[in-house]
Amino acid sequence: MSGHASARARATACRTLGQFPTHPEINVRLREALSDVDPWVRYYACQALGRIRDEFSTSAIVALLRDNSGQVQVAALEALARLSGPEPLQALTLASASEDPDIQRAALVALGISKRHEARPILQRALGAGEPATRLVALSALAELGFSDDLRPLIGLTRDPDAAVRIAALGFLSSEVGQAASSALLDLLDHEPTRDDLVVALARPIAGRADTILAALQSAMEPLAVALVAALSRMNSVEAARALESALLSPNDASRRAAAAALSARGELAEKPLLERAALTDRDPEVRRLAAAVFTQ
Amino acid sequence: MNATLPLSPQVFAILSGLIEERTGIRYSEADRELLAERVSPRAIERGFDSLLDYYYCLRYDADAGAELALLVDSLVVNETYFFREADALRVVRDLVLAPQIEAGRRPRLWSAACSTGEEPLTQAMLLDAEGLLTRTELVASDISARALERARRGFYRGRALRALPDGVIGRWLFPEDDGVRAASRLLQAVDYRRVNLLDCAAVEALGTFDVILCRNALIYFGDERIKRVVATLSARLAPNGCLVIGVAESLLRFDTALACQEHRGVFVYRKTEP
Ligand SMILES: C[S@@+](CC[C@H](N)C(=O)[O-])C[C@H]1O[C@@H](n2cnc3c(N)ncnc32)[C@H](O)[C@@H]1O
Repeated sequence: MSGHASARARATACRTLGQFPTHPEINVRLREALSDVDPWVRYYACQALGRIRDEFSTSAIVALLRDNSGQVQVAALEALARLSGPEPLQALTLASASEDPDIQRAALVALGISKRHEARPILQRALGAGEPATRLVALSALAELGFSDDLRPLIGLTRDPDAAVRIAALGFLSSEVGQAASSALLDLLDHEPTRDDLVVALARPIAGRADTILAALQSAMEPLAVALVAALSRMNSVEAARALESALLSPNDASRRAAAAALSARGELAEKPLLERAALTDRDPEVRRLAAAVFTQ
Repeated sequence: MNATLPLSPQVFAILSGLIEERTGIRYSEADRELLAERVSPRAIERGFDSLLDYYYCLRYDADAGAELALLVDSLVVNETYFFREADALRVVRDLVLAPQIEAGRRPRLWSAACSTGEEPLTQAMLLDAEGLLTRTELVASDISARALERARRGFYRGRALRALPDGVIGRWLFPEDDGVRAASRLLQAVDYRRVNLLDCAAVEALGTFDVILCRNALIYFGDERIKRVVATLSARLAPNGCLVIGVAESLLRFDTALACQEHRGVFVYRKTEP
């Protein structure tokens, strides 16, 4: 490829070739491009060979970790993520301790892409990195592997000083299926019932979550009950609507008050008979007042 | 083409970090889409179809410095106009510059984020009105090469002229085509330089000043940077010198070594100790 076109055209060619299914002729060209004079050609050649998992290139790509151009080093790391064997893993592990934060982050991203179980402890350690961007990258890479049963690192990061890290951690936690994640979110909300981002996270319509919230509503006190009901109101699913209606029949006053206020505010036709009954028969005057509000609006 | 390339939270974190480190300009997570819109045209122009690739270009390419300068041009807010917050410019003329001239010295004023030049030219007009222009040294700088190019050209139109008082046209600004041209003696009185306020060495090389104007630029910076820039600027003030920031800005939450003083309704930060 080199010698024919301009560096930019050669780089574009490499970038494009990586998007095609493997063809022996293409692979040979891309391997040649690893030693092109232009760093961006080497960059895209690395990316492309990684994407097509060209195991013949492993050694050449490992050698590019010492390339003079930083961008070639990071592209080599990304490529190694997709190549098997001990050599890539060793190289990625080494680079994950690099002093250059971009090299370190590229290695962490690559470890995530590799989905190798050996990557887990390395990524978990990087969650404690000083730079927020590095913690964020490590967290996203860990999400590629899945958090398995250990949600503790994720829970810790929901209180990270950096907003982007917090948002990402909550995003992952809220989309984890299973009881453990729901319980963790409930626990967090119990400590900080006024945190809107926790309510939003809890409101993700994950199977079984509405029931978990409803169970918590049986004993929740005032600010928490309001937050739990707010999560159910946001959830926008059949289960959530049913849970809200059940909350209006709960023996817990705080839950019934929160549910009456929320259901009244929604003003759904189907929920009116239930509200009417509460407005007339609930033992708590506050619930009766809140439930009646829907008819005076 | 006006396409916007996707910007993931991770790439946003490193890209906005790099921009803040080099320019001081801070983008919060809520500005992710905005940053993507501003950066994408430069990335596409350079032949990239991914903002991560473009980030590596800014970080590692042999040409990274020049590319960053071009990117900065498309990120900065150059909004300014003649006679903007002009009371402050009159106060520093009367309070600091005129007394120095009377005492036989040649005072120095620096417009530290001058954008397209309206601010230093307004100051030049106010000095000229009192016969003090030729006896004052005016330095004006900005990080944006494109803004400085326009400042040096001295041709203005439209919104730059929205607050012109009577008597300016025909005396300092002269109609030309669909705009006005600044008098050449005003343009010659201002020494334009390209200076990044985060570049301590470049700032230091400018020498000391009796007045530093740094108005409506620090609002785009995070608190840590503001503190550092204010410290660098304070070090450039001569004893009794004045730092002026925008009317919507305040340094009161950072305890600076400067004393906040009010003169004729204008707040200035004064170096009371050497
Ligand atoms: C809104 S303009 C203010 C112009 C004028 N001072 C005024 O008050 O009208 C802000 C200027 O700050 C400049 N700026 C932003 N970051 C800078 C930096 N790190 N160093 C120097 N100038 C910078 C921008 O290029 C822009 O021209």
